[in-house]
Amino acid sequence: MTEQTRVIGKPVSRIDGVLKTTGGAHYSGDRKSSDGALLHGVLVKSTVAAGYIAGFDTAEAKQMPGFVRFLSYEDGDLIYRIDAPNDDSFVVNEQRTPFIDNQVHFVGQHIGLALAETLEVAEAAAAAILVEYEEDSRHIALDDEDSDLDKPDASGTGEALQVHRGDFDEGLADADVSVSATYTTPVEHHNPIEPSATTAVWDGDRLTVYDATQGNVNDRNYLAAGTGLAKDQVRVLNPFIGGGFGCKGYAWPHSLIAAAAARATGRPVRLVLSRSDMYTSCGHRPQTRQSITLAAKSDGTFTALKHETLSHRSPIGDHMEPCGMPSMVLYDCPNLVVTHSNRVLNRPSPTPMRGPGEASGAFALESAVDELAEKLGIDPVELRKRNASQMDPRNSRPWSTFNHPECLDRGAERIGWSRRKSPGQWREGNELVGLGVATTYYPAYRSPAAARVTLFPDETAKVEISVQDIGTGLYTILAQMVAEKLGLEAADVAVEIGDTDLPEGPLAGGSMTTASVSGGVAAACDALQEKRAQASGDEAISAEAGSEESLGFGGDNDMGKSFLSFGAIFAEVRVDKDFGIVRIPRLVGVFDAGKILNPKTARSQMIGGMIFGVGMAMLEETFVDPESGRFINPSLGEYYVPVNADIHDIDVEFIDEPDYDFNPFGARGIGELGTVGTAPAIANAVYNATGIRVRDLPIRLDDLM
Amino acid sequence: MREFELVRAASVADAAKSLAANEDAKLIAGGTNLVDLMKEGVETPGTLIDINAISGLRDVTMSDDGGLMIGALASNSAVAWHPDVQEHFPMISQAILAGATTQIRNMASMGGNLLQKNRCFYYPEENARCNKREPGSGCDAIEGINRMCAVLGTSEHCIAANPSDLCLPLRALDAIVHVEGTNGQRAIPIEKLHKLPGDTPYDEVDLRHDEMITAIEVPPSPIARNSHYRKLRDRTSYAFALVSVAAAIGVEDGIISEVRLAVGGVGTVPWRDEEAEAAMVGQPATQEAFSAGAAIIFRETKAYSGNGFKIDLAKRAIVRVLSELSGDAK
Ligand SMILES: Cc1cc2nc3c(=O)[nH]c(=O)nc-3n(C[C@H](O)[C@H](O)[C@H](O)COP(=O)(O)OP(=O)(O)OC[C@H]3O[C@@H](n4cnc5c(N)ncnc54)[C@H](O)[C@@H]3O)c2cc1C
Repeated sequence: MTEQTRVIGKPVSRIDGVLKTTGGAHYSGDRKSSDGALLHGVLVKSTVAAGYIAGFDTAEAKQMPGFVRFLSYEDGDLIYRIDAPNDDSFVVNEQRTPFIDNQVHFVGQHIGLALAETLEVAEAAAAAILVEYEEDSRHIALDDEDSDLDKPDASGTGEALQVHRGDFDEGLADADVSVSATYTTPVEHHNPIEPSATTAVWDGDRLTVYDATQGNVNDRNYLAAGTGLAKDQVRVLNPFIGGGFGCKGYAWPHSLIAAAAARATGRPVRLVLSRSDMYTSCGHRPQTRQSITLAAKSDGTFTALKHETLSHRSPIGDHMEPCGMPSMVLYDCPNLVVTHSNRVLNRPSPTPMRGPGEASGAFALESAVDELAEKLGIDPVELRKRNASQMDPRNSRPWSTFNHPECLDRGAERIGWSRRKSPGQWREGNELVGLGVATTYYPAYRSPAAARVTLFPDETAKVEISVQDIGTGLYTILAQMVAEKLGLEAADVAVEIGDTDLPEGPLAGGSMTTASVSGGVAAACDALQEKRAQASGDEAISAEAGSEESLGFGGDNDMGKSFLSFGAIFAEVRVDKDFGIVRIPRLVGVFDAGKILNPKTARSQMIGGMIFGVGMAMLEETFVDPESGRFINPSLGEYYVPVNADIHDIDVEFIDEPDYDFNPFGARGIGELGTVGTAPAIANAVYNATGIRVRDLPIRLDDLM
Repeated sequence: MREFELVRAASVADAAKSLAANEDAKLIAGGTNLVDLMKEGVETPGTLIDINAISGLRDVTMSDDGGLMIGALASNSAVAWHPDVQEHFPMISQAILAGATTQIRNMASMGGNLLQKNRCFYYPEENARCNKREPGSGCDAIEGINRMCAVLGTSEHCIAANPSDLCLPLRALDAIVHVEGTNGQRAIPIEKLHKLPGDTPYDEVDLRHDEMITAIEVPPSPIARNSHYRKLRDRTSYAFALVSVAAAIGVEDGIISEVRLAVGGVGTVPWRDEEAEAAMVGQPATQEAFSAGAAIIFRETKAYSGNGFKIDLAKRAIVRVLSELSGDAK
């Protein structure tokens, strides 16, 4: 494709916007059952962190008019044993089959489901079911040395997690200056505005599930395994998703519980997770403690870097937060040690959350780079440019496009970096003002995807693919792609997604949907164009094609290049000198994410991503009760995400250099790139304003008083 | 949520009678606090008595002597935007607007605001120990997460902070809460309305079961024109106070003639210390005097693992607010 595009690269407004703003978009929890047969399910959750269920007392619930049934491990054969570690048709972060036995691994584990004719009765029944436990000793704290500690070799995306390059001790000995510090990040939750919701409907031996999932094909395969059906007997529909940020990425037990309940009762079942259910049912960003040592020559050349991460997983989950990833790719440093350890704790199972590993890891690394710059007396923008990896340090392959230094320069210009003073020196009234910078990045991933494109005689088209738009703008991007290839306008292209009966696409995670679908869509359009040349024009013509190739996982591919997006985030902060309250009047992000297919939806993604980073920097923390292991603030009133009043000017610029090696439209993913570097940029700005280095997120006013 | 019956009261006497007849009944005004707690299973009334149809309880009137009479059903928004309130009692308006959100303030009533429940994380948590929710069960906050909790007026049984912004200017201004029950009417000074937790933290207010708040009276206070409410919190909006200050000050020839000062986020009840005010009166209006007054308020505190910073923060906030106000005071 040439660089001259007609529809691609234009700020097309979202084609699903009207449906969403007028209530025409139906979400998974909105599905009405036509015959009024719908049953409502409410989860009964464990209230202890470890032990065994000794028994249920359901007497009171059973008295309630409208109560239908209670399901638990006592209904043993309800769900087929899923073989999560060995079944590669699906990915889960919680590997235990729900209701498989009476063991309890954390507070909030699903131990039963109350089913009733109305939601109100189901809630009352669930609350009235008494559970007797035999409690076991529990492990709650990250530094609980009595609990198991894993050292996994690879992350979920295939990245090596224990890495030794060169000779760290020698590099440290060679250095003129070094910094060593420990950084911590708390448990955080995704908090999409739409809670997870499943409506399951059986028709004979076929199962249809309306599910709020970021990965409908993955979900279908999980549900097939857990119900003992063939994949083609299960259909998952998810045309609209109200955000996910990772918590709807992999499949979770509640979907399977709803499907099993619908089978057991012979009626459609709807299970909408409550907000507090959302804190224990579908993952979180785990707490991390990261120790970094970074050393350099007096001219700033890095000589040694060690990045050690301690995080946690649940006894029945396998997620490891790969915080060391940025240390493996952002800078040239000949002597590198990266380690990861995972404590097994009786807390709910973690899962990827926007920028998993990268965001927590970049907070630590990019803070350390700032600390080193200060100690060296070198401008932090300059220090980053001096050490920016010119090639992928993992394999010495060139980056497919490389604008890391340019992002830093442009960002510095836009924020007015030359105004920056030494720490604590810029005062205006009661406020201390500071500027900070951090590099941001995100790996470019691509997964197999197929697509079917149909052209109708009236010169309108339809594209069908089983992917999902989690609120990012994929509907619009797909229409633009097809319009570009077929010579139509975006408005002429109908988009059908969110249905596993369509050609299969990837899950919406790892910022890879757009990059993944473009191969299949382009190929299907090319095939269609060939048919079109031969066709009469009186009949609809259709073509289906797919790309089979995965790219970017574990840094591996056979193209001789590495694919990764870089960017730079700059923050201006104003800190009240007495109260420590931080305002962020301006954030600047400059990003190199390949060709920007739609600057309007892309800008929204970057702004949203940076606001996500503001939350991480300043507000978000799920408090873990140290005694019980309970998440103690499971509501949007008490778990703080940014509100409008926290957000001021956000300035986004794209380099917009197409990456045609990556895919036919030249685009890399953007969903996570805005989040990764934002927290450290803010923390570094806070240091510049106040002279106080906060190494524990979130940054709170009492850190700065 | 437990099933409940909804009845509508036509008059205050009607509401009082319904309450008296039913131990399991509660009044509902805006419902912004009560309904949340019912959803959490913390409040489980069998009957709700809707008082919104009672007429004559929404007025905000200013008397000739400059006092305010505010009906219990006036919405938080209506009071905050009332021109007399804004002009003569700016800290009342500012305190309301610093709380909750526009939507909630539009629904919330003045009476309900006075009686809103605390925001300790453990209070709504069914399986936590909380002496307010379940007398005798214990207090998980003392050894647990207590960032939002109090440092003044706590007991070994409860450390929850009173969360109301509105109550602070009302406390500073010696507001009077008018109530009516089956035995007739009473006027309760606001300082007597909220009770310290002591060893009965579940016994929160000096109201009998059959009594309903009908109005809030704010006595005239010429210095209240020069008043301010400052709220410090982790999030810029839609968050309860870590620390807040409601203050009015009169300064004549550089000398403090009168101070009214209440501090939020720090006390188990809306906190005011008249001794501190008295110590400031007659002093030059300087940061030293404000700081000395603040020290008196916090002379006897008990801090917990996560909230000790509030003491310093509150002192600084008091000094800042009083300094700014006395700069303006003619
Ligand atoms: C998300 C959220 C954020 C909030 N943030 C803040 C904040 O930052 N600052 C702040 O101060 N407040 C805040 N609030 C609390 C809010 O101010 C109160 O919920 C509101 O004022 C209660 O008024 P209501 O009329 O809705 O009371 P209701 O919920 O109807 O009632 C509350 C209680 O008062 C009783 N009651 C009501 N009216 C009377 C009466 N006339 N006589 C006797 N008893 C009565 C009820 O029986 C009930 O026990 C917040 C609330 C929410 C939901």
